[in-house]
Amino acid sequence: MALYVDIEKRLGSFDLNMKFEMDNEVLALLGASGSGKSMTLKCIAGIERPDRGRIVLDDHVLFDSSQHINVKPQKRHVGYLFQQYALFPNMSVYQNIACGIKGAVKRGGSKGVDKDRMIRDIIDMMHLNGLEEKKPRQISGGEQQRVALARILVNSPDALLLDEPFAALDASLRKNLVRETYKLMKDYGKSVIFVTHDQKEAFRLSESVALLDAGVITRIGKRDEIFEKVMVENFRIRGEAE
Amino acid sequence: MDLFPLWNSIRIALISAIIVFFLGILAAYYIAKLPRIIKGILDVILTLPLVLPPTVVGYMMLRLVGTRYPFGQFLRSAFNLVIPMKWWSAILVTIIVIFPLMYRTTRAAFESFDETLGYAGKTLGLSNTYIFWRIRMPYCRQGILAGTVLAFARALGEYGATSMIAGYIKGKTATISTTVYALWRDGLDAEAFKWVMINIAISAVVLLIVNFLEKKEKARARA
Repeated sequence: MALYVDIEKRLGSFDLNMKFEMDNEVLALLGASGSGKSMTLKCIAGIERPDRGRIVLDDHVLFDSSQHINVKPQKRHVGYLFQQYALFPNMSVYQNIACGIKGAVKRGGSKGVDKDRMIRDIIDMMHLNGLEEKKPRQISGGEQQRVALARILVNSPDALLLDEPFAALDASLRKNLVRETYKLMKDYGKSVIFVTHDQKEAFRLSESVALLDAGVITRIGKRDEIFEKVMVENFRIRGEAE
Repeated sequence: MDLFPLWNSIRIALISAIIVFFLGILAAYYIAKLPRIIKGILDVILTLPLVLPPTVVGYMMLRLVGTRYPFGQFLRSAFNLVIPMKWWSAILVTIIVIFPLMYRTTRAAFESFDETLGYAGKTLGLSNTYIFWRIRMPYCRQGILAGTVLAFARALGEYGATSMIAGYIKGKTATISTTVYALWRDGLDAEAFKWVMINIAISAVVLLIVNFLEKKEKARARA
C-alpha cells in the first residue's frame, strides 16, 4: 500500500473519520464543500493534527497517535497544491520554484546538484519560459497554477495532494489545463489525491474515487465500479420519485 | 548653539526603536499563538503604557532602580551600578513607552498574513525561520515599518518618563524635549523657540515617511 490513512478529528459540526488505503494511483476525493476533504489533505500533509489515528506513506510513518509520532510537514515530503496556489507574492516565478528546491536539496544532502539546471528543466516542462522574472500577480491564473505545480514537482515529493486544483480557474482556461494536469497526475507514478466537489471532474480525472459525506467515506473503489453504482443509485432515486 | 540635545534625543530614540523593533515583532508573533485568556491578559499589560501618563512609567521605573529603593541599592552595592540620571537611563523608560505602538501595529500586520503561504512553505520543506524572515516579514513589511517609524517618532518626543529618570543635566542627559522646558523655565524664550522648531521639523518628516509607507501599502493591496 502506498498510502494508508486512518484518522479521527473532531470538527465543528461533525467528526472527521477517514479510513482508506491507496496504491500509486490517482484518487479523487469527492464530496460537498465542508465535508472534510481539505481537512483530510491537511492532516496528511501535517498542517493539521488529527486527534487519533495513523498515517503511513510508503512505509514511512507520518503520524501515529498511539506511538506519539507526528512528523513535521517539512519532513513529510508531500506535495500540496493549495486552492489559491499560495505562491509567495514577494518572490518571482523563478524564486518561488527555487523555494521548492531548497527542501529537496536539503533532504537529499546532495551538494553537487545543479539547482539552476533543475529549475530550468522544470520551467521547460511546465511551459513557463519567459515568465521567470515575473511576480505571481503579473501572470494569469493558469500560469499561476503551473508555477505552483512546478514548485511542488521540483521537490519530487512522495505523494501529491491537490485541493480543488481547477476551482480558481476561468471556465475557458479549464478545459486545456484539466487535460494537462490529469496527464501530469497520472504519469507521476506515486499516490496522488485530488479533492473536488465536481462529480464530472472526479470521474473524468481519476483511477479511483472516494465519496465523502460529513467526514466519512461512504464509498470507495475503482472509478468504473463507483461510477456504475452512483449511476444505478441516481437512476433508482429518479425511478422512485416518478 | 549647543546641539547636544539633538544628538542625545536621536541616539536615545534610535536605540530604543531598534530594541523595540525586535521585542515588538517577537511579542506579536508569539503572543498571537497563545490561548485566548493569556493573550487577553498580556495584551492589556503590554498596551497599558500607551494610555498611562509617562510620568507613571517613570515613577514605577524609579521605584525599581532608584537608589533609595531596595533593588536600586542592591545594584549599587553589588555592581556599583547607578541607573538614574544617565543619558542611557532614558532608553529604559522610552522602550516601555513606545513598545505598545510597535506591538500593536505589528500584530495587526501579522493578522493580515495569509496563513496558507506559511503552510505552503512548510510542505515545501522550508524552515520556520526561513518562512518567518523571507515570507511572513516581507508580506507584512509596510505595516512593520510604519510601526517602527511611529515608535521612533514617539521616542523622540518622550518627555515625562525621561525627565523623571534621566532628569535634565546640560550636556549630559538633556534631550530636545527636556531642553525646551529647561530653557523656558529660565526665561530663554528665543532659545526654547529654536528647539521647538527643530522638534516640529523632525516630527513632520517622520510623519511624511509614515504617510508615504501607508500609501505604498494601499497601492500594493489594490494590485
